[in-house]
Amino acid sequence: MTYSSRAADSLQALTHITFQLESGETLGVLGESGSGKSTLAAALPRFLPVNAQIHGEVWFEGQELVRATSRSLQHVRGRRLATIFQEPLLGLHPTLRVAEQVSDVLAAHASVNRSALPEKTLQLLSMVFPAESERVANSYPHELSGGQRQRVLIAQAIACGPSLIIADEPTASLDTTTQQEILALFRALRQELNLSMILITHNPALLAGFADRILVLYAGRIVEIGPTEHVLNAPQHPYTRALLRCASALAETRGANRRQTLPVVPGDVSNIPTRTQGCRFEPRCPDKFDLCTKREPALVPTSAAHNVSCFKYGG
Amino acid sequence: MSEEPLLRLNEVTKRHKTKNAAGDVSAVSGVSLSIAPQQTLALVGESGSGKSTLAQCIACLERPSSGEIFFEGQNIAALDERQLRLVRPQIQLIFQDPANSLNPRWTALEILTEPLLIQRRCAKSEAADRARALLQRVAIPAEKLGQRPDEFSGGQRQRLAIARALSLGPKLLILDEALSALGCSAQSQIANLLMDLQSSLGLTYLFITHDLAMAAHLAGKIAVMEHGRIAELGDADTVLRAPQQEITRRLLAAVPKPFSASQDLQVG
Repeated sequence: MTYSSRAADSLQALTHITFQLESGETLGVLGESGSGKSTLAAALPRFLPVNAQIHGEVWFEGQELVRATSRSLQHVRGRRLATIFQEPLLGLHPTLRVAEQVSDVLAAHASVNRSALPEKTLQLLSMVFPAESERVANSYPHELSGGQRQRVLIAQAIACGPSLIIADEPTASLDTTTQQEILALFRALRQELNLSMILITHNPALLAGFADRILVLYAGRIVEIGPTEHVLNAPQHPYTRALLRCASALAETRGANRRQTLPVVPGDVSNIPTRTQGCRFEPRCPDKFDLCTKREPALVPTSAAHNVSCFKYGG
Repeated sequence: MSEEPLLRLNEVTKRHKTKNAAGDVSAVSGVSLSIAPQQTLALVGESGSGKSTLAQCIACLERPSSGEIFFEGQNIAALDERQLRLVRPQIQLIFQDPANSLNPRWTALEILTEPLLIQRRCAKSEAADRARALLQRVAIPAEKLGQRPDEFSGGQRQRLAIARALSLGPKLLILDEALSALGCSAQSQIANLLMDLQSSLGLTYLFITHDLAMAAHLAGKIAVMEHGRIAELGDADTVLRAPQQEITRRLLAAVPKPFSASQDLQVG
């Protein structure tokens, strides 16, 4: 499977995005709000509004999606490539019972014969609710907790046996204990169904021990991509380093540094320069030098499978 | 107790009526706690534990079914609407999602001056100057004064919500999951800002969260809530080092582990 895409708008949300995802692999996409990570999630299955233009190519199971007809896209979306978004309440119909909403997905993609629908639906629900699938099947979304609703969306996503799941901040609206439960469910399903996954998040702590590789997105550019252990333990790009220093301080619970100033990435995404040349991170970068405003650094390898876009490493 | 607490709750209960045969549901039952002036109490619990309902009662947006809420020694749970008008400005709430708590059609200037004008704190001519000073206080560039919330980043929107809360000079800020929707850097930036504001303005915080790590960083005391009750309450150090209740241990276990950050990361 190869993705090679460049989505552009009069406001370029994503530029020069090129990556590959192996079958069975999990890629973590790490970025702050405004980095373009949700645009990426929506661009791959072409869920973008009509005013968005995508340039480049997205290859998925031998098929190019950017120029695919909407008819052939329908065979891909939901069936081979499923998407899960952050807010489960928005993804579910408020006045339909859960069982109906899951069986609708099965029926829409015509993968099961009508008489087998109820049984297949219950089977799907029992994969995500081992203990209480019958009760949940007869519930309405408002009767479920945030974590349970997210499980219903996961059941819908795996209904037609996809090979790839794109999950955009699937745990951001949940509390920390529920987050871990959802990640554990993803882990089990990934194994059982041999799924590839793209997990999009702002929280690097979720990716440790979950993703095979991490792609770091900043202002619509890939600033760093590499194996999870490398990126988390030996980050190269000044942005990744600052972000991880900040995340790792947040996870420090023992209160040793109580009330001390927490490390931050100075400024925020509103500091992205409007000029067209030069590095996008330059205004916030602690390591910048003259060249950084002149042209944009290219993604260069610093070790096997680890690429960084910064002049410190050649660029 | 050496100092009179700014806020003291005595057996506060909030019941909601249901049509259910099982009877009423108690969202909050028999909660007692107190916060000393200029201190931070963290209220920690999973979603559905009753934290937000309790916050609404303290902010005088809901009336408790029973119990007393003493603010500066006065039981505000027993006040009538007219008296509450004098208390409400002193207790301000900050919510999780500033995109929902800020009017999208108003500019920052309008958002910041509205409370001042409603409470007749100053003349219209002076209000703009006050708004400018408030923005500066939360480190937002003055040129954003004429912009609407959708032109602000997520972190800046939360700063704007904080600035509006500060406009009436409150004593107590209730922060209800105020950092939960933000990215790592924005979270740390707002946490740093909250600590600065606390020491410069002498604010008292009730910090509501499901994130025990952030609670431990900001608060001297932690109260853990489960099923509407306080399960555990104590000094932050004690609660972290020797958690007494299963729920506290579960919340502790859910805190992401710090990565094995190499020396490399220490470089600024």
